Amino acid sequence: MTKRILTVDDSASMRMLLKASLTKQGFAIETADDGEHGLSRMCELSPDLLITDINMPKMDGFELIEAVRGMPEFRGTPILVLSTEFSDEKKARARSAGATGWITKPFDPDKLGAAIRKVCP
Amino acid sequence: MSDDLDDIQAIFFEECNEGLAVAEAGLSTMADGDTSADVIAGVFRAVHSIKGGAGAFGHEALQSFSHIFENLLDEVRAGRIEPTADTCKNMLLAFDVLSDHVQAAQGFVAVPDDAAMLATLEALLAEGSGDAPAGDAAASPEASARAAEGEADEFGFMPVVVDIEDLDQEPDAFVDLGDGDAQESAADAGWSIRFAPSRDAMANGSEPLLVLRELERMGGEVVGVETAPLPPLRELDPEAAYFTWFVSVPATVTRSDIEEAFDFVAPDSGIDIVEGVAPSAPESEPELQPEPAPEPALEADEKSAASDAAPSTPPVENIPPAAAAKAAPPAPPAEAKAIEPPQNIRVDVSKLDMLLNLVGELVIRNSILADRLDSADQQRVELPELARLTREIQDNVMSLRAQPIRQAFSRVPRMLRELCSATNKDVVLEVSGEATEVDKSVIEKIGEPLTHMIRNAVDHGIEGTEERVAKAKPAQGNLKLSAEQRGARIFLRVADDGRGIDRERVLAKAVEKGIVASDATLSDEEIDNLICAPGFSTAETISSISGRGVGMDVVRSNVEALGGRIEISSTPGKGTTFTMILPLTLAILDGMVVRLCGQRYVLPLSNVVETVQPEPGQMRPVANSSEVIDMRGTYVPVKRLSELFQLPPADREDEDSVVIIVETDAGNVGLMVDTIEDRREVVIKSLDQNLYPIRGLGGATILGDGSIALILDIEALVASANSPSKFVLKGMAA
Repeated sequence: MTKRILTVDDSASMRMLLKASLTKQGFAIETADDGEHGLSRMCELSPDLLITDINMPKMDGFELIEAVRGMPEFRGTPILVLSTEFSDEKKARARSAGATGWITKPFDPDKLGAAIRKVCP
Repeated sequence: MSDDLDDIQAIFFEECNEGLAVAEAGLSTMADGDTSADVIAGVFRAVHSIKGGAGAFGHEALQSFSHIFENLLDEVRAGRIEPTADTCKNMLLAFDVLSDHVQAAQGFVAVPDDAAMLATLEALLAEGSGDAPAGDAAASPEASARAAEGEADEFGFMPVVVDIEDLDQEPDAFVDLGDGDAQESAADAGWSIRFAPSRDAMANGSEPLLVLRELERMGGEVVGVETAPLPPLRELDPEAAYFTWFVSVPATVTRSDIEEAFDFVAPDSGIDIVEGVAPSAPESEPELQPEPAPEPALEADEKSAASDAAPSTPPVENIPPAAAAKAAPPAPPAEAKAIEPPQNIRVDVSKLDMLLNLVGELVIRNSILADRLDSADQQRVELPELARLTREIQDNVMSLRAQPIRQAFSRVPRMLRELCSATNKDVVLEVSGEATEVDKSVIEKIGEPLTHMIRNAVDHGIEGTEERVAKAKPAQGNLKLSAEQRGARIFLRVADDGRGIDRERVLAKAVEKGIVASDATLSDEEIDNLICAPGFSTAETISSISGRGVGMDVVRSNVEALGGRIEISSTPGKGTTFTMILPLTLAILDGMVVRLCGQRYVLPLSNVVETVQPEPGQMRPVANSSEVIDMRGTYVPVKRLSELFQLPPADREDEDSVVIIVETDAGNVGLMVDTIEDRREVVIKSLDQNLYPIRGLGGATILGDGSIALILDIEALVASANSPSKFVLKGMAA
């Protein structure tokens, strides 16, 4: 079955880029443009995987991950962070918030696809 | 895909420009002293997004510069570096370099030399908070290189490297596969991997079996499982991981590929990757399982199904991407259209220009119909309706071309910073009215005159700090840049609070250069206008800033070529204001057609306040052949257009003429003409393609009967009427 992925990023070009490259790899991509929007889309869609940026207006990635992870139906949903940041401090924060993995931007489409398959059976 | 990418990249550059605007506004706010968290976070986010996209689209220079800049902003955001005035200033300079990088990424300019700026940023980072940021900065090139490779990062995962000797001494870390298997593994000298997921491995949506599946996809094989830690069923935590897995992977797989499989494994899991040795089981190892047992966890059906299938059959997702894409691709884009709200389309400007020309023709044809059909026929063919539609089309076409003047203003802050550092002056910029919309053609053409006026203001107008303090002025100079729309005209002002025009020197210079006769007596205003005379430059020495051989005369002719004009007002010691008065559009004008001595002229309707047919006695002569008209008790000066144009005096009574009251900068003025013919839209045809710009004339137009009428530039007419030339302006176009 086609995996449904919600990507949350405040940059339109990044959303389009993710969508274009992941759609090609056979994933169904839905997008949201900030944490708040992402949370509501999460509830609407119940995707197989959430990919989120960290720095976003309204609700940032950490808050989004915490909120999603706090909902029982999403306890097992893999969440990948896709961010330009790479400090260990930020990664640790993301992990304690409940992120499954961290991918540093810019992403290589094939590697991103591989990473997705690693968390999303 | 490449077309898609180009489109996405175009959006990225639009975002870059938005981001740059946000960053610049934020940094300016910070430089002004407001360093609140929101402001800093806004700047950080903008730079961060630019960096992200830069990497995605392979703009490495932009990416690495924005990376360092972002690091600094991050330190400021975290409070580890104080946003002092000096730091803010440096960040603004860094912003300038960042803008250059964005320009370069678009191929507009060469990649800037950012070495000096990078050094400054690194130094700021280093001095910021002792070791930590310095370390960060030192680590960053490596990290950005890693980022540039697009490699997935991991959660502080540290592969444990184990020596072969150690293994011999500690064989109990590995599963004994039995002789046959061991021989085989040793023969191809593959990898032996021990993977002991932490108890909480499955928290955060991680699934250890997926790692095993990934290893199998590389050709790996599970060769053993240690199940000893599995507790009695009653104590079993269904969400915990208990097993340790032993996997052999062929030698053809690289270590980094194997490490990547563990990217998302929790850091407290045990992972050993050892090369070229047959895994050997601990003596105590009780069972040997050729296939991984289903995880004890109560996972979703789908997951356990996948893990069951894993050892023997390739996982479902391992279908080659192309095949998978075939299975389900087109649906998502279709859905996406419904979600993403504003749709934009990029259009070649030349197409808009063509459209505008056609609309111009349509307007003229409308006038022709209106002229040739009597009013009953006009009604019968619904000409008024056609005119209304034409008008609407025209408004819409114009609005397509209208853009906020912000675009022309956006370069000013940077220019000012550079000017300030070149002249060692301290000037603060105030901008207003940047949302005023103007036709694209106008925006394109005001850049150069604007630049020149600002250079002029900083170089000649505003004094150095010491001089200002000595004059009891605020130490910091002030430059106001404003735009406002008045009717069909746009007023652009550049006002400084500097020393004002030194009239004595200007006059002396003008006499010296032979621009003015030595015995001429000129008003202050006339002297101020001399700086626009050709070949005039007041700078004692040619400075690198404004002395480029281009003077205000060129600015003036550029502005006049746009159908605009420049006004200068100056107060010695207080400052100078340059005002550019420009048409909103260079194409179409709402006009009033008047007749004078048998000729027709068009007045821009936007200037017209009212029209009066003078009653006997309403016109009154005042001193020096001037006249006023009594408008309900207030007196408005009246100019006879025939006199301004030096036409033969009309043989008619004032009472048969019409006075059109127009609004000008100098207040309301009445213009006397013979009759008013019509009110209509006219398509402006520029005169300066064939003639020098003529003061007082804004262009020409073709009327409905095919005849030509001149369009009057009221402001210029009234201004020249007020100050008839008493001196020679050599070489002036007019």
